[in-house]
Amino acid sequence: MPPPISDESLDHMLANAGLTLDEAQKADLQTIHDNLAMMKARVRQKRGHMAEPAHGFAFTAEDL
Amino acid sequence: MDILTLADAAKLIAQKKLSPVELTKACLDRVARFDGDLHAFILPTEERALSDAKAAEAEIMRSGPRGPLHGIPMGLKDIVDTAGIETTCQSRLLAGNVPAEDAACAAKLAAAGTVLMGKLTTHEFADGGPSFDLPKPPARNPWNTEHFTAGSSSGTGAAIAAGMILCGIGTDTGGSIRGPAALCGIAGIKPTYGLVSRAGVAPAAFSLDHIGPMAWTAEDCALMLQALAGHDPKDPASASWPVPDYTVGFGTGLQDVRIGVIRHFHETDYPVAPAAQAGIDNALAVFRSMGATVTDVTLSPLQDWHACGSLISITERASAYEEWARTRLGDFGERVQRRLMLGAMVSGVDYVQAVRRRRELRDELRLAMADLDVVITAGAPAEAPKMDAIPRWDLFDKPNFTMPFNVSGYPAICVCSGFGPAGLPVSLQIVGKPFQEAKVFQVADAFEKATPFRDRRPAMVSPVMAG
Repeated sequence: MPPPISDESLDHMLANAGLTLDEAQKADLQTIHDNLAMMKARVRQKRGHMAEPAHGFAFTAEDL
Repeated sequence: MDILTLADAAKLIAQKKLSPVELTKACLDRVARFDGDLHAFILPTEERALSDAKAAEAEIMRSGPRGPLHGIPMGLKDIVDTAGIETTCQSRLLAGNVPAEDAACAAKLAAAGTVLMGKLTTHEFADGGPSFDLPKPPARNPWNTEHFTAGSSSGTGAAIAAGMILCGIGTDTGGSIRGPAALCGIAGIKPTYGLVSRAGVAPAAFSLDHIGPMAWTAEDCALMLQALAGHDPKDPASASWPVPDYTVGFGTGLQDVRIGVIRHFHETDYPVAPAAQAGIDNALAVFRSMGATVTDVTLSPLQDWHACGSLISITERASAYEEWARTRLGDFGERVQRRLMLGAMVSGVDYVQAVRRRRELRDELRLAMADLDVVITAGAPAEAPKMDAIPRWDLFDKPNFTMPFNVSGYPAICVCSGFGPAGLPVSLQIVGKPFQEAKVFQVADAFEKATPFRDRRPAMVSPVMAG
């Protein structure tokens, strides 16, 4: 179980995102922090550097 | 007039035994009788429908139908742009928005000669859930109006099940075509990513968004997809891929068709209700009796697919609506506000790790299907829940069975596989390889025609047939 998110951390995230929330909305977000943390853990696997994102970047004939 | 399938109506229209005008009037009559309870339409377009129907009828009488969609009443989810017709995405932010052009899918259906019955109810910007703080009320399930339709193509599902339209457009980012198809007892296919143009359709999450057909049967969906598929340079993800005949496998049986069952998805990762399980077990017996081979398939847990898709969805949606989230957050309904707030809590690194996981999961499915034609799992965990039983944070409640195929981009259809103890539908999901929709339709059509579930309509629209 991850540590609960502090008010300061949440405020920092919201400021970065440019969102202005009231106290009730912030409290609502804090209730799902654990669920979100579990999702984030599930997408982290032991993987090598060649395990690239699903959508690669490559030139095609249309670029020429 | 009895409620017809698209395929049956098309045959009768081609034989000049059914008037598109009379068919349209019968559908309009059902809208008048039932939509006060169902709220499937945000904006019915009666005048446009009658005008389209009269034009179709005149042309058909003069020179025959353009194809099976000519003269067929259909509807468009209200995130699909329609030239000269208000398109609100069920949001206060787009009140009064009248697009200048049709979306690509709307234009293709118009070119096929369909009759536009109106704009259909959606969750706000195809997100959220059943909400009562939006411009229009949420759609209700025709099998029982106290129950949810699923979403976000909620109006399309309800309108087809109630016979108000014969087919319609849905969109699917994590299951928004297949969920309403499952809970409303109809058929709905999310095609291969890139097969149907998204141009002119409001985004939800760019790399997960799909446009697709919804109708009473798989055969109807195939006829509709035939008109919708094809490359479109206006959609950056549009695939350049030949469009085959999607009906080619109909009536050919299932001899030698190789079916995999992702049993752990619906039996251990998220065990479905007994009625849904019985529907799947019955379907497997039907498939075997028709000559198909059935083997089990093991993938990563359903929760991994759900986490991967959800993190991508949260982030891409936050990107798509960033400006409004910063400046007009309070104008969204509460459910979408919460979804957009989540974007602040997912970092760029989280997103990239999810997209790396996505490649691994897609490779896993590709390898698992190397010697298979289709795989199956549940479409939904149970019958439709009541409207007031949907959690505030539904994204975190349970994994869904549809998200894996948004993550992979593979085509997937939900069809009705029976009914539960409350008399509401349960469903089966059939998944094909990329661009192999014809095989998906072959299996789905064979199942529908070997079982009695397409003969039953909701009691509110067909009280004699129900029961």
